[in-house]
Amino acid sequence: MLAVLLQAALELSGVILGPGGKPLPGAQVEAAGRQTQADGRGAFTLTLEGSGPVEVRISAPGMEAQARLGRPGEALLVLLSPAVQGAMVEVVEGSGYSSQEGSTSTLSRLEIYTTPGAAADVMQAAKGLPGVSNASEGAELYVRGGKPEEVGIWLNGGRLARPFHHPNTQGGIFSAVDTALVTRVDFVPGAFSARYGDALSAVLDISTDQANPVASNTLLVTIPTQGFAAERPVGEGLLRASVRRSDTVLLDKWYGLAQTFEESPLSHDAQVNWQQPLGTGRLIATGLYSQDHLATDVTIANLKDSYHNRSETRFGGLQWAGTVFGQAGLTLAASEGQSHITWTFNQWGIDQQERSRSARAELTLPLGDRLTLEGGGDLDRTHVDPQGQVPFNLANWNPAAAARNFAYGFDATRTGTYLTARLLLNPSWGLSLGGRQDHYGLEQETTRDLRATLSWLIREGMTFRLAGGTFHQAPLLTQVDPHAGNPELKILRATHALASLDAAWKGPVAWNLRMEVYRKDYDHLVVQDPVLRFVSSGRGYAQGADLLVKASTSGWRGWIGYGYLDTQRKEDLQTTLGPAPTSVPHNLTAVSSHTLAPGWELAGTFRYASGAPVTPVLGATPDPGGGWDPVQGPQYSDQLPVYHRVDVRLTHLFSRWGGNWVVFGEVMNLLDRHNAASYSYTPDYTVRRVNESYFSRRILVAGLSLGW
Amino acid sequence: MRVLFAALPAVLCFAQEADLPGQLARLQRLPTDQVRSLEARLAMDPAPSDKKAYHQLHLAYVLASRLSTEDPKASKALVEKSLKTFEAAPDPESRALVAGLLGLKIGFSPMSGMTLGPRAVGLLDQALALRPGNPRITLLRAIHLLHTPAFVGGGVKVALPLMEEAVRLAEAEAKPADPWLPSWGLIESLGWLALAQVEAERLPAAQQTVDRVFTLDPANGFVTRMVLPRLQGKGK
Repeated sequence: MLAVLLQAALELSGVILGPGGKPLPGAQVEAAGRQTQADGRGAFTLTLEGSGPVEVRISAPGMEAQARLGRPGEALLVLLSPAVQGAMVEVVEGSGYSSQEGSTSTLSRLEIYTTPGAAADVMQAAKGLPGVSNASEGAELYVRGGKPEEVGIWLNGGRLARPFHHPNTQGGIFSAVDTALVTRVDFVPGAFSARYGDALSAVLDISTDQANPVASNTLLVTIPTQGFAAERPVGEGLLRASVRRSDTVLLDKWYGLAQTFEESPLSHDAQVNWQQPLGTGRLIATGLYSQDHLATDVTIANLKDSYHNRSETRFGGLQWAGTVFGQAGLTLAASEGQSHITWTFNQWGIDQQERSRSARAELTLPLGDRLTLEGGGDLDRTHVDPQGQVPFNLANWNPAAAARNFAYGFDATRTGTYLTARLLLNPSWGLSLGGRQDHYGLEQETTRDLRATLSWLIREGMTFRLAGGTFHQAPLLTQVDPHAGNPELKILRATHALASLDAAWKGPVAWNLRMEVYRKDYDHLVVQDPVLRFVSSGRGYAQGADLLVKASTSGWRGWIGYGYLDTQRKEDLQTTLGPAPTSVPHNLTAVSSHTLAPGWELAGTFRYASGAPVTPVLGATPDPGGGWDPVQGPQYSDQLPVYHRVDVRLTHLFSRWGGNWVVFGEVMNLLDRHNAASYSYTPDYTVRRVNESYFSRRILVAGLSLGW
Repeated sequence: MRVLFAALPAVLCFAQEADLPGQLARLQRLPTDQVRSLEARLAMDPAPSDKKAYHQLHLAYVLASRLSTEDPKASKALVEKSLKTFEAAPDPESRALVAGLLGLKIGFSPMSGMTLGPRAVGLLDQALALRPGNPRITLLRAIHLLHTPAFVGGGVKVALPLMEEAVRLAEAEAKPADPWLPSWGLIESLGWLALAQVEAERLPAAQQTVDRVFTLDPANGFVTRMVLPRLQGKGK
């Protein structure tokens, strides 16, 4: 009996549990140079030589190891949690940027708000990422040689067709989505997931789902923009709303732009979000309304006249996301968007109404710890009704030139299904394999895509990815218009291949580095044709390298994004493979932000881009109907001057009178650089003039944000 | 789960007899090893999951706080995981702990305080509006203020009266009928009050508070580890 008691006094025993308090058989237990494994019930016993306390190390594959103090004769009860993410490779598609903390990211809300020149705008901030062109001042995204329409934009699961204010002026000056309500942004510039269809180059996925409901108010007053956002928990639900108004009339008066504007750019937008727990998930209803107009004297090509633009966008979406069958995730989304855009310039002009509906159902099914399946279906239906006429050759705005007339409405539909398998091969290697099929109703074509991403966690904080696949997108609606275009056009196709390396170092200075090389080949690009109007005989490629370096210390943070691009396209008027409007080889953004004193931030942004290609005009011939027609040189064989701009901002954050205040003053275009947006000409094309970009002079803006 | 208990070694079954809710109420005063044991015991306890949820969150908050200096990486991962699990917790006491987790997250990345700070304050204010006079929520609000820079409305001067209020409220609070309801707060509030008094250079008052803590809990780890060294340092 005594021997049994003595034996017990030298035995260290216990039980190892895993997630959910379930026994963890096979868990490794080590103490005082001895080791054993937990049995089928998670229990273990280890005989020690002494009776004093010892350090016990408990570990299991995929679990966070624990060190505990054990004493023979006393039972040890241990709960192991799954290993910290990051020690295990993250199985994802492509190589994207996320606003989530911990990612290689320059899209955090803080950065969107505080980056000088980004105007607290999601899309303007995304333009600072490598691979996105700086050559235009608009909010539209030119990604890796792609046009803005090649970027698919989603808001809470619904496709957002026209999220820009002043969409026809230098690429939409700002986005219509208010950053005050944005909670997450994911931007993937290549090889994105099979869940996204009808997008050729990149995706921008925006969420306004707010998990921590609080009552709050935010007032924004700056010289061009005023806004108010509020958040109110109502019962179990949460109401979030914002309104904004932007009017540049003061800036135009102060900086001598008023004489060019008959009506200064004025925009309004309003956004409402309602979240409500429903069943095993959460329902999110989203409403967005935006409206803007301007009137200005401009010269397009050789024609000087008054340009009027008015646009209105409505978007409504419903999304339910929750769990079914215990562990499967289900997302159901439906949305409807309407837009009405009108512009007139001399005899030219378009009045276009567009209505699009989309729906999506997606199931995410984890099958064990290593495999997750994500699959579903989506459909879009768009009705577009354009009225008006534009020049057949968009380089010749002579009122007597040949016109393309729009007079009839038509429908375009798409239905798609997709499946992605994310497989954790081992803690260091992961593979995502996806496929999708789409049927385009107007073009009567079915497309199939295969997409894959291989991820390798070289060591903690360093990941290498290889990704590739095919991507399809319908041509522009104006090109497949059965009456003014060619509905027989093929669906555009792009093939992506990329390799990326992400690395992060922590220390007194925290570093993030991302290097990426890519190649993108295009097929079935749309080329203008004198008989069929448009044909699908175009092609193209884009290849290059992107580099992002980000660093921060306790009092400083900054980042540099550089992208090199080589791209050529046979498209539009370019009938052989050659330079395209997107051929901007060098793009650089550098941001530096210093904490001068607690609550005081001084930040600067430098943007640089090679000049955008333009087609030179060599001379002009008189048009029999009057006026002059240009004689063009080789397409896009000339270029605008180099674009660069420096913006500096001083921000003061403080708390007073019951509120949190952010007061800032910003000098945009500190160096007073007169950047060019385009060229225009005298009526007979003998003299060329520069059309300057909107921010082509030094501008001081100031404002404050008050939260309570 | 009950089948599992039957299969456990006798020595562990003996350990199960201790009052689990009572131990959870003393959670912040236990050594880290015991906190981890409680985490395991709570995971296998047959109590309904809605009763256990608050304590799982409280355990995560306590462990993440302890690990924030010893193992920041593990602490950060625990904070992220817990925020994901509990961010939509509806009851006011849980919301206050979620605010506490947000406070820890701000500690890892001070610049994130610009966006996370108002959210944490909002959660705490909302929790206080729903449960006015709750000592634990009041204490968590005071802790948040203590760690908030003075230029954005925080600091020891504003936190101190709220710490004193938390102590008063904890003294007046009756023990709940349901042992699973949160009932911690008095000794913890006294510990934080002592720390704030030291920071505010009110050293005699701090010494009195320390004595009070040791009367109630002679081996209080928080005061021994966090308050006494500072008190002795400033007293020299």
